[in-house]
Amino acid sequence: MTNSSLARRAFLKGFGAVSAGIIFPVAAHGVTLAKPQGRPATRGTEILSWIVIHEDNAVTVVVPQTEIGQGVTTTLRQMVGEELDLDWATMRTAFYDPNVNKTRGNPYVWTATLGSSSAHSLFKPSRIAAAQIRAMLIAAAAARLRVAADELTCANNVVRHEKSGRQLSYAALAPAAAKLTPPAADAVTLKAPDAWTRIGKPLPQVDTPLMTRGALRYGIDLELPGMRFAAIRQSPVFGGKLVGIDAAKLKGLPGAPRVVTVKGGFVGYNSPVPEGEDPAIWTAEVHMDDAVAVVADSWWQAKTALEALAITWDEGPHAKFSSGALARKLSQKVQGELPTVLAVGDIDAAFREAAKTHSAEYTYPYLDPAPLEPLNCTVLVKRDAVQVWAGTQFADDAHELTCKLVNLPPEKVHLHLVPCGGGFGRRLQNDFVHQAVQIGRAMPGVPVKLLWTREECIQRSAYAPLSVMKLAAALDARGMISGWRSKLATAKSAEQSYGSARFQFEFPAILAQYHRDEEAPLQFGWMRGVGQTQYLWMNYAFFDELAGLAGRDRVAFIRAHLDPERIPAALEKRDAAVARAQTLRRVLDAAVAKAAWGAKAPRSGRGIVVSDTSYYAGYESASKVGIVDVTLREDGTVSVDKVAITIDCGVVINPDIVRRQLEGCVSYALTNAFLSEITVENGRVQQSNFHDYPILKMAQVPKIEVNLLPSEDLPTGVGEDAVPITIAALVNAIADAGGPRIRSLPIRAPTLRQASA
Amino acid sequence: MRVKMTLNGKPRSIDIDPSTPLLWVIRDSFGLKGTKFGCGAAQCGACTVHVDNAAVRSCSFPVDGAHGKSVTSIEGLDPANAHPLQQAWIAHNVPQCGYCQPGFIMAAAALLKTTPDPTDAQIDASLSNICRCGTYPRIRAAIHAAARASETEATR
Repeated sequence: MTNSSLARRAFLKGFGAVSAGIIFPVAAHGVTLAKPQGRPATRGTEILSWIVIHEDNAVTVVVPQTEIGQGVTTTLRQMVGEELDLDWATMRTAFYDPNVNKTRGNPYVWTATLGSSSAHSLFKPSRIAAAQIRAMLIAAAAARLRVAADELTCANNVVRHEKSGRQLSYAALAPAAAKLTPPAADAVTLKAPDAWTRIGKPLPQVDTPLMTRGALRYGIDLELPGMRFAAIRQSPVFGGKLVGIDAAKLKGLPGAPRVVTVKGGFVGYNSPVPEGEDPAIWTAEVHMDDAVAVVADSWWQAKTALEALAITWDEGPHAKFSSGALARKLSQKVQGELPTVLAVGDIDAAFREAAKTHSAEYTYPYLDPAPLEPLNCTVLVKRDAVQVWAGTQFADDAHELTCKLVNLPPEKVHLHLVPCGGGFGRRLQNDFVHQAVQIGRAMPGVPVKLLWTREECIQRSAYAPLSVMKLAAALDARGMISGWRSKLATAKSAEQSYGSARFQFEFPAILAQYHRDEEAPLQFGWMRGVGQTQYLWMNYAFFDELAGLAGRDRVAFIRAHLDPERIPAALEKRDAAVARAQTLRRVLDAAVAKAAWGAKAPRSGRGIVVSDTSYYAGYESASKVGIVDVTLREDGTVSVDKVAITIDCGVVINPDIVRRQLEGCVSYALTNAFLSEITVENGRVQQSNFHDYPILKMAQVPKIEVNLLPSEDLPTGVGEDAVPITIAALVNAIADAGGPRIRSLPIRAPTLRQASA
Repeated sequence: MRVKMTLNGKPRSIDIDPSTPLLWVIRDSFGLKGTKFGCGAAQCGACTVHVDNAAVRSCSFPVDGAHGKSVTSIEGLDPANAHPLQQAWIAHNVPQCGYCQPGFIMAAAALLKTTPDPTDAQIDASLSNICRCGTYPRIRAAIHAAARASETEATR
């Protein structure tokens, strides 16, 4: 095993560790949290950093994640409410402050909103904390009522003594309960699944009624007394430097505009690194270029004034950078030897002894995750206290970089998370926070809201990396894959070789090689599905090519390669690999049984993909099957008739939220497949807004069917999983229908037909 | 220029550069934040409001175009969430992040005024808004449900 694959395993061990139970420290009491949206808050008692029991017996649950549309404010209420026996109508949520995480020793265990991990990472810690708090309330009630704890029960925010008919509200017990030493995390008993009344139910998303009347306040909606507004222009060329500004034209413009320069450089990191882990595996550095901001009385005035400004840039070393040239360079790279990340068996022998061989080259463009709410951040810098309001997916990092910029200790800096208009990975990079704090620092005492234009968002994003993968395979005489070789070369990126090298088939011989071009100047960023989206679709499309080459039925070909008998006896963690293959076969059988497999109409096609996003066998991941049906039309378009996703994602906390996530993945996948692409010429992104960086619209959305399979395993991610399998099943369906074999995104032909056309 | 309009039934007036987009007047001058900024180029529809009953993309609609007219933003549709579209949106659990939803609801409300029971093709043609979360199938179902509910209400 190579060093890289060992490092990958360390990554997984780290992630597994964060979802284990821990001891939660006792927190200070009497904290009044930021007012939750929509309902008034009274003072209350905070217990174990996770909840506040208010004087009116309402309960606020602290959400140690960012809400980006994944529904965590709803699912966390279900998990905590379950163990604490809370009345749903009394529950509220408030986002955590990283300041608390920092100063109290990380009570929330895992806070970055990435990797579809909200349910997975919160499932144990939040329920354990709730069970600890429940035990503390019961202990306080036992002391107050002078009865044994085991005679007490909890229901609807009340501890009740059945024998005597006496009861005490959580509010009455909270001050005493908070002073008790919590039971050890491993000493509390969690409710058995058959006793759940909240987990597993399709409870409505809690913020929906605010959204439908325009009352949910996102970061962009924040308003403070005396607030001023900032518009920003970053170097139009990646790596450019600010030379000079001619501000003469600002004179006399309305809104009292003033210029603030923002210095480029190192920002922070785009993922946390657990203690003792290798940062190179977990995260990537975030950098930004110089920028010029104009601050005025309204944002429109600021933006108008910024456009009037004459700015001179030194275009720097990347002024001639071309993404087309980089694609050609990467394509050259994959023809030769690259660093090996995974080597299994004798790959040369597999090809030497092959009955048939095949190779193909796949490419994936630069992409911008493009959440719909443009990036924004509000800052109020005072001499001894700083407040930041940001829709960031990595609030701990935003807090830390702010502390450094204003040179204050963590307890003096408060980061208020706000609901986000989408995330999709873009908000893991805190460049926009760094800029806002620099601007706020130049205007002490004045609240400032920085808001990017859509053009800045598209042209200065953190991009999924342009990538080229050359795949080659050997087929043996029985039509089985005996050797699999992948050579992947990408633009600047975090370590994402898992997307190409780590998938579920245990071929007898595997050689995976991986190279990252560090010269490519675009900022790397995580994007929905990350390495899996970029590379798994290539694997599954090439796998489908091989089924065709072997002349075999697709489903049979997949099933044969998931035969546990084929898994080498000597494989490390063979049991986990066998279990993985069996699970995938079970999901495959369920999906196939659900889909009608009749005679095929002319020019229609079906693609099928079976996948998980495990980094290795035994790593918890949702198992799913995607089936896409298409029809090729005479006019050169393709109708996507139906996308069906069948998934086993462990315990489902809220089935309707899981369905929505998967429906969303399908739209995201079709956008990636047919519509969007970031290209760069002369160091500049050529796209600027949704007219040339299009997103799927209503008319293009196919029929989507989601089948959830029952499971009692730990919840696994659903927010990203269906993206790569939809893309792969789609290109396989187009080939099946007699269309071209698609190996490069976005698909140029056939174009996507309007659903109702 | 002094621009006068009726916003959600109330008379409003403001002295402002007439080329300022209506969006920013509604949001920042009048403080109604439900109308969203997504692209600034009439591409995404997050800023959709009604001007004299027609859906307009307020990010690209100069405020002087609303002079003397009646403007309705999401806050004015039905603050009690009782509009059939709002009810259907809640019943179908439509939103994910929710950011685009006010624009979609306002676009759909304008459609239902002229086309009380729209076909899928009519929905497709009139709702070119962008939802990055991909809530489209539920939006479609909610519009059909709201149309049915309105019809039931009308025949009662």
